[in-house]
Formats: sequence, C-alpha cells, structure tokens
Amino acid sequence: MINSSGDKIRQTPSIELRNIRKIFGEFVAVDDLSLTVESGEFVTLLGPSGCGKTTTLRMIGGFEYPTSGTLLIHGEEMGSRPPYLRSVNTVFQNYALFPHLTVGENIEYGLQMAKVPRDERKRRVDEALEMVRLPHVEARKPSELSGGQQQRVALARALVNRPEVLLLDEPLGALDLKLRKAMQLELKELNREVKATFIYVTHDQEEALTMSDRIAVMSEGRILQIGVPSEIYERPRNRFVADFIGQTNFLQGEVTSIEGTMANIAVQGIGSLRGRIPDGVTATGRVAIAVRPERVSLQVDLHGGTPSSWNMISGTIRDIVYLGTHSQYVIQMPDGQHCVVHRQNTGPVSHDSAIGDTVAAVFDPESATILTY
Amino acid sequence: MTGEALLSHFILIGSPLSNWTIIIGHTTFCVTLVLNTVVGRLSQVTRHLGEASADVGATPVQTLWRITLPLIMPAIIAGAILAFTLSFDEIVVTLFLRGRDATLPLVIYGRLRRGLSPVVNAAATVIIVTSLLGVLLSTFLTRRTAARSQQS
Repeated sequence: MINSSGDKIRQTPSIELRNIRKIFGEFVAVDDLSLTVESGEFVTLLGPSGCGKTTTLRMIGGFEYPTSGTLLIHGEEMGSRPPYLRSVNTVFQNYALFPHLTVGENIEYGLQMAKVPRDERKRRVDEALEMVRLPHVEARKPSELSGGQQQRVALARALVNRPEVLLLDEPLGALDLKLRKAMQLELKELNREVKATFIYVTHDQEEALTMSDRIAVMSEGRILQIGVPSEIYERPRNRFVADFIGQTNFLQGEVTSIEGTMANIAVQGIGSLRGRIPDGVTATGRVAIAVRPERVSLQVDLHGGTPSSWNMISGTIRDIVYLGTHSQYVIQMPDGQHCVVHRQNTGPVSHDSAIGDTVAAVFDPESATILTY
Repeated sequence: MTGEALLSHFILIGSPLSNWTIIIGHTTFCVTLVLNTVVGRLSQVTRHLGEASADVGATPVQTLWRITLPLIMPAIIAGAILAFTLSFDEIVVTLFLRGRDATLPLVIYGRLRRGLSPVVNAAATVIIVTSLLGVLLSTFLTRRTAARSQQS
C-alpha cells in the first residue's frame, strides 16, 4: 500500500497469532503457534484430524480462548472477547442453519442484531443470495433445501455482514465431488470479490492447493511449513509435508558428499543420486531423497535422450495401475525400495512395458529434495 | 417412598402440613420430569446453533430469546403438561403431605370407600381422559422438538 507521500507503508495484518497455545486438560491442541495473515489473503490450515487446525480457527472466531499467547485481529488484541464482538464470521462444518427460520430470516439475522433498517436488510439479503448464486429461496426453510444449497445459505449468512475475516471450517465436506470442485472455484472468486480475509480449514490437500494464496501445513498443534502452494508442493521442508501433500517417493540412502546446495547420496544397488538440500536441513548420514512421481520419467519416454546430470535408477516393474490421465508404474529397486513413476497417457495406452520388465527411470536432481528422518 | 421422605423432611423442619406442602412435594418430582424432557433436547444442537447465533452478532440473551427458547418450547410445554398430568393424578404422596384441604383425586379416593356414585364415576373419567390427553400431547411435542433438532 502507498501513502500520500508515495512511500510504501505496511498495512496492518488482518490476523496475527503470536505464540498461541491451547490446552484441554492434559491435551495440547495447539502448541506455540504463530501466524500472520495479510488483509484479503486466502490462507488454508491443512492437516490431518487432530492437528489443531479447527481449534486454531475457533480461537480466531472467539469460540475458544487461547491458554496463552496473543491473538490480534486488525491490530486489536482479542483476549477473551466473545464472537458477537468480533468482526469475524464463520461458515460451520455442519452449516448450523436455524431450522425454525426461513432462509431469508437466517441470512438477515445478523443484520437484525446490528440494527440494520428493514429496507437495507432486504436489499443486502438479496445481494447475498445473488453472490452465492441462490436467488428466490428466501421463503423456504433450510430443511427444504439440498446440502449444496444449505451450504450456500450458510455462506450467505456469513458474508451478508461484510466481515473483515471469514472463517470456513471444512464447509465442502458433505458435497459430492463435482459440486465441491465448483464451490472451490466460487469461494476463490468470492475471496477476490468481497476482499475479506479467508481462513480455510481442511484435510484435503488438493482443495488447499486449488484455493489458497498460502497454505499452512499443521501437525500435532504446530505449523510445519507455510508458503504458497507451489512452494509447499515442490519444496517441502520435511517428510510430513512431503508425504501429506500429493504423492512422494522417498528413496533412502547415505550422504557421501555435498556440493553447494546439492548432495550426493549413495543408494544401495543403484549408485549415486543427487538432490537439493532445502534451507535449514543438514544433510548428513541417512537421509531420504524425495521426488514426486510425475517428475520421474521412464527413460524410453525421453525421446531427446537423458541429460547427463540426471539421476537414473533401474529396477523391475512390480505393478502398472491405469488411472485415466496417467498410469502409475511401481518399480522395485535392487535393494527392495519402490519408486512410483507417473506416465502420462498422452495417447492410447501403450503396451510396451509389462510387469516383470526391467526399466530405467530418470529424474532431474533439481526436482529431488533431501529430507532427513 | 417419595411421600415418606418428603414427610420426614417437613416434620424435621417443623413445617405444618398444608396446601403448600402438597405443592412443594409435587414440584419436587415434577421438576425432575421436566428436566429429563427438556434438558435432553438442550444438546449439541443448541450449542452449535448458539455458536452460529453468537457468530453473527447476537448476545447470549438474544440467542436465548431468538434461538434456544423457540427451539425447545415444544419440549418445555411437553414437560409442563406431563408435570400437570402426573400431579393431577397423584394420590399417594399427596396423602402424606396434606394439611386440612384435599385435592380432587383425594376426594374421589375418599368417596370410593363409601361406595360408588355418579359423581365419582364422572370425576374419575375426567381424570383419566385428561391424563391420557396430557401424556399424548406431551409425547407429540417432545417428538416434534427432537425432529427439529435432527434437521440442523
């Protein structure tokens, strides 16, 4: 943001969590978590069940209070301020629509609490329903709507209040795949349209990759890595992140030498493989080379020849799985380890390889990350 | 048992028996009944809806008035009707706790000993029908609250 003198000034972050801890009895749900979210960002908290992502979201909403640490929304410390005094709105996992009120009454509820006059209420309710592409259902009761429609009403009920921050707790879980994918894109668009900060919680890594400006991967109450989707996907900093997002091959070996940011690994039966050392990782002793299946190619498919710097592994094909867009080749290496290769099906399925064949698979060292145990 | 316990209690605190002791005695067991009916419905659902209500700006009082009460009202009425029905029907505990006045069931019970008369028959019919209607209505309302809870 530029101020009147033309200098770039820092905008107040939308949300700031500083060393937040949340303990339930003996159980540490959130452990020293710090996070800064800029205004208008779409940040996803991604992780398996029990990692603390929902608890963190609830603390931002005011449904739980931190055991220790500071939580600021738009520069203001929240402390134990209740939800009705925060400019934050939530889309709940189970929608939580008021069953005894109509759709219109559900949506205008918040506006009534804010003492918005009737005409403006009507206008904003109509606006909200348009925004979620659900016009003309104001008079119906929630029970008369489908799951997808209910979800949109929950979204409208939150957005109509024009919150600074919108919290979404796995809202698309109950929808079928097609609808889910459509809603993901709609949510992303809405984020741009209403310019509110979106904090999204999910365990679905594909969803996170689709919608987020940044993803915070969580496990056991901590953020393991936070970054833009491509960074999280291509440069995971530890095994958990590499494993949780997409598929990864972990090839184990011993570090033999280091050349700048690259390390040479000795893998039994294969020889030497090279990979990149990410920031903050010390490459010594037993490590794993992590490489995504789509970055590994069968040597026969590289018609221009294999670059000399590339790694090569050879083994026997254990399994071929046809998955429509690509086929998954599982290659067993001499020392028993497996390497999965995604072979794009750009044409009709080729029958040049069969289970039991010996093949060579190659990949660029730049696509491989050295991760410690 | 209830009658005996309550009676012992009143004797202990030196309270003379009267209409009030009847009322207090009946209230005791009626309260447990209503609590069972109503609190059973005050559950996860109202907690989630309460959070949603607070989320869009309603204070706890507003939430109670606009969301919680309307939702559990059928259960409250059900509990009230059930409590009335049982109280209406009650003889044993009342016997223990009565002062000088009698309740209707007590009068009928007393009259029964002297032989049946049309008045007694009529009164008994009214009691039975009222009790039956009360229980039916109460059940219906409880089910309705449960159904509402299922929806959200």
